[in-house]
Amino acid sequence: MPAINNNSLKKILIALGILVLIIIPQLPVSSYYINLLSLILIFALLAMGLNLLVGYTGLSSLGHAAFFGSTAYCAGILSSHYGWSFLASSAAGVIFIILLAGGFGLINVRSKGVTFLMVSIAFGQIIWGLSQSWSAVTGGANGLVGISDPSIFGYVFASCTSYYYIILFVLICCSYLLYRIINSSFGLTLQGIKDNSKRMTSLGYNVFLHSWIAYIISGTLSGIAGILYAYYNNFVSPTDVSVITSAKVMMMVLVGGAGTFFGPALGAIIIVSLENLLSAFTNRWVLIMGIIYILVVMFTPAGLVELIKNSYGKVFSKGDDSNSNKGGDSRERGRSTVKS
Amino acid sequence: MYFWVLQSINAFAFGSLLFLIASGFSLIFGLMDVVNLTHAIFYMMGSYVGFFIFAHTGSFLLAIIGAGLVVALIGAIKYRFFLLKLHGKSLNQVLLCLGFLFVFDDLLLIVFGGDPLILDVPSYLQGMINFGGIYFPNYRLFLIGVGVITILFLHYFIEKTKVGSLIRAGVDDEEMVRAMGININLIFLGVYSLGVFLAAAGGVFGGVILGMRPRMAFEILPLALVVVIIGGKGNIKGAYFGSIVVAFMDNFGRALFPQLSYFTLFLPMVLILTFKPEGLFSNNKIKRRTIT
Repeated sequence: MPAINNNSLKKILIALGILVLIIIPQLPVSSYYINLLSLILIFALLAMGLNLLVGYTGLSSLGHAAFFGSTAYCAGILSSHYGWSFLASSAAGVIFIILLAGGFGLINVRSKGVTFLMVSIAFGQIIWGLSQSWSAVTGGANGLVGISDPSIFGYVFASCTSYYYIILFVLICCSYLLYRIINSSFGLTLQGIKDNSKRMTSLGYNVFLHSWIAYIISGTLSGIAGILYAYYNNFVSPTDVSVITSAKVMMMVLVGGAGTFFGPALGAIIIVSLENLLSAFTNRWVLIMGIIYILVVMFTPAGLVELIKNSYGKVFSKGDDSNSNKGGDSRERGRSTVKS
Repeated sequence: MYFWVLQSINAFAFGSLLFLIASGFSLIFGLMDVVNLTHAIFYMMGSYVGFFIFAHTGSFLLAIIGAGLVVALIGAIKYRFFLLKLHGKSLNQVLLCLGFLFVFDDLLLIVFGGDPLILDVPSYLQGMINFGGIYFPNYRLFLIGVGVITILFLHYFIEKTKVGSLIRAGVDDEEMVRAMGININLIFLGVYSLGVFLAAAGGVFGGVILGMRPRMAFEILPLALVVVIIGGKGNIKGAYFGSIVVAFMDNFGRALFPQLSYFTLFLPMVLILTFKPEGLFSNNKIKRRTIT
């Protein structure tokens, strides 16, 4: 489309999207859909955080639910056991997750490829085991109950609509931050590391440091999503820490397309809606998730966004070479994303 | 004193059990670069199928062999028709295995129900042996024996036989083995099936002491992962050593700090990853395939 500048079109679309997200709760929709949308936004943040690592740094983590869940536990415990306020427990949660991700990252980032993935699962499952067996603090298998409703300066966000706006606000801030990070020279270095870490090393970049910082940022975003989740549900259970949740988030990234900015958010919309829709008919969610995994890996390793882009490129490719070219390029980028 | 001796025997027995799972896991990882997350569920499948066979025939030996063969067949089918199609794409293979882990886990829940089950100790392995005033449960000693026999067998198989030398060659340089006109896909399939067989047989052995319940695979999985992280990939000796270390950490962790049980696994893993990230026993001869 030569008439409209691609960049300004993007901006218009994003502004339109935010506007729609702001307006939806004002429409006569039932609170079920607002709650569902809140959940989607929380998981979108989590998936976008993971995407920084999977899609932009080339480190596939299957332990992000540990960050998500342990921060949820941290904020939840401070709220329910010690009566901390929403802002104080959130701040403590963010500090907690930066330290935790920093510590884990120091060890985890030393490995690459599938070994990285293996270590991340092991870390995640250890945190999961802790959440289950340390029942004096976490409530064990029964989960953590008694998290208060979020309140800021005396105003209690008890209704789902008011809390929805907090989630939306946090999501927009975090996405903007993430967008700036990805498009900064730091973000470009990360993408260079993903494509060829040896070359980046020989160019003089500190690959370990960059990966480590990306790991911390990614973990922190997941942790922020965890805090939002703890106050959304007023409840945290070991399931939220387990590899099943990690796999669910990874699936959002893969379905949406790793290494695309809005892909994981699209993945979150699809997967969360699907899970909620199916839970009305069957409790075989784990089975269905496994099947989706197999199908995605076997047939669309580059993700839905690339699939849509490619078919879009095919349809509109007549007389517009640059467009189809771009499609081909990004498809290859997507492929290597999943491989690395 | 009694506590320490008995707990050590328990840990040793559990380590031997863990070795049955982790040896195949490590071999598959070393040879094919496949992190076979499905391995944990093959263990559970072995438990359940073994339970089924034992309940119908009453023969423990038949349960072990039957469960091993049935599950190995399922594993071979999974390898041939799914994993092989993604050959060389390590990450996609892991995710595929993860998908199968979930599918099989839920299928087991559907078929066998959610109630915890436990296998009976076969009559000839019941009872205790009195040794210097301390009673050792026979079945634990039997498990330790099984572990020793398995490592001896695997060591002989890999170091002394022709197929074993092909496997070692495949670990070192897969392309060269192919170029020699050897059908390495067949070897891959064989090793995969052998690994699955060992895990499933381990499931029957473990069904007696650990029992079986839904989602248990997710508790077994981190143990197997930590074993391979400690022992180094594709290394049988490392897998045995790692299994014993992990079993001791886990067993004494549970006995001494029940609240923090899993956390004790953290320590050996952190130490290994900090000081020898390629694993304790990995020899540098193993070509580290670049994962791009």
